[in-house]
Amino acid sequence: MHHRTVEQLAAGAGPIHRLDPRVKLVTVLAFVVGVSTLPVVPLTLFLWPAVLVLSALLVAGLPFLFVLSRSLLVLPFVLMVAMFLPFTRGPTPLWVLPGLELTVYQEGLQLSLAILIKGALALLAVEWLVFTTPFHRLLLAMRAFRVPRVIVVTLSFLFRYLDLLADQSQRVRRARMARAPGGTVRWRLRSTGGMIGRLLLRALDRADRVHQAMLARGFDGEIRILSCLQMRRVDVVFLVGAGAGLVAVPILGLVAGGGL
Amino acid sequence: MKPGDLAVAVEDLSFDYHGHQALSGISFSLEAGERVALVGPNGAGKSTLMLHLNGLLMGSGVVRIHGLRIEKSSLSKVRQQVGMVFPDPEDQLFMPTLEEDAAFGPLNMGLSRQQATQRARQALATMGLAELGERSSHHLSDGERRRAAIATVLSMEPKVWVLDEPGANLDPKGRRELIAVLRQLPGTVLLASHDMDMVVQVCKRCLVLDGGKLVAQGLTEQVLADAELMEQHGLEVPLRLANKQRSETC
Ligand SMILES: Nc1ncnc2c1ncn2[C@@H]1O[C@H](COP(=O)(O)OP(=O)(O)O)[C@@H](O)[C@H]1O
Ligand SMILES: [Mg+2]
Repeated sequence: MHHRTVEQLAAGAGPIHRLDPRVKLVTVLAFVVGVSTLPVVPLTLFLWPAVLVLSALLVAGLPFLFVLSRSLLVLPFVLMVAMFLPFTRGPTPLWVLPGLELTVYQEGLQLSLAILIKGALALLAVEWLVFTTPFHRLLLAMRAFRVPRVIVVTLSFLFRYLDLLADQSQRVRRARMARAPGGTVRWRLRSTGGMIGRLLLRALDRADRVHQAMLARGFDGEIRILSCLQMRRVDVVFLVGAGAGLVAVPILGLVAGGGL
Repeated sequence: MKPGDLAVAVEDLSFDYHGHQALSGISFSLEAGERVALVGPNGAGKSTLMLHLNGLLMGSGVVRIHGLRIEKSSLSKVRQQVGMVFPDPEDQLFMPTLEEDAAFGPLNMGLSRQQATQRARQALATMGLAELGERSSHHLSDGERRRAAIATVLSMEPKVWVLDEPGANLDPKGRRELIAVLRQLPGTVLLASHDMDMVVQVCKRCLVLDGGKLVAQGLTEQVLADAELMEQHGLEVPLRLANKQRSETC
């Protein structure tokens, strides 16, 4: 399953993998915010952030094809947002699509391109973070930034039991197919409802049993863990370097945007 | 013998699930250091009884652990003394890494991070999982996962072990390893199992539960060799004992 491949990648031992997850999280957030505030033109503005994120991916030693394939998954959503803009944002007409009577406007096209590029850059940055950081370390970083405990703990359990849930849903589906492959749409809809109900019940059962197992080991409502994050010198060095690279992003924007 | 000398003392315990009587009038006791089996058909009430031994369920009657009566106010103390191993190890391995899982109990007991780390590593090493502390449990084999679940309890150094069908879903190798582990657990052991040969190898004494009632108890070799009793309660004479009898009669 894909999230297990990601997990294997994230368990690597490279220099980027070993960075403090808080440092990586802050860097990626700053990068995404910086890129998203860049003006639409000129497109050359995006060169610098592209260099930043690509070199980050390179240093992390992530397999290029895998990163690409993961990115393509998100592409349809970005495309959906960007597809109609060239026809709707005026006023400078560029050309008319023959036969369709659709006008492509320059402003719309620029905006559309910028959205695509910004989306791609942000996505690559997030992939860099997720593919180099074990999920539980990411959660530790979120906790350090005061994300509510209940959210972090929920995510942790979700991640832990995702496989079992998926397994179970597969088994239930297979059992149904074995009993009656095909069937009318009406029947399939009805039995899907039953399937979801059964999965939910099993998930609740599991939750009950896990809770019991926690209580049996002295759980009193507070999750206590061993790991604590520690900043090392490399983390500080990385933060300063990344900070310098990132500060250049809005400055470029200011220069190009003539004041904004 | 004073009640304080007993590891587990259950007196007239009854429990119902919303009207469905699961246990009625159960009394028995385990001496410190004893290894005792709990056998009975599915639905006999074995799991229900075991949940009472660490206060996860509380019925009518009295349960004492090393003299300490289980009630709301004694729960945290009781849970430090009674280690529960559940049928499905996946339920017991809920933390992101094995080391965190093994440290979960010790941290809840109030040990420092340093002490808890030490306990966790030691327990994992005892279970032959020293190298896997940073792993998550879904990368383990069934046998390893089973031992990991035991390690999460071992790190708490409980005086009393309560194991509910720990042998389910194990291949022969995993089962052999588990038997070796069970024979070496320190302290008092109560083991529920359908694996009668495992019971014979681990437990000297045995309790038979059926329909929520304690129907027999005694030396494992005698109780489990009683073919009539076994059949009456949906059990079977373990191969080991059956063969022995045959060789004695020949
Ligand atoms: N959570 C529950 N709610 C209602 N009834 C239950 C529940 N758990 C068990 N029972 C019932 O209690 C009886 C004893 O079950 P259990 O203790 O699980 O037996 P065993 O472990 O020996 O198979 C069974 O009849 C079972 O159906
Ligand atoms: Mg049971």
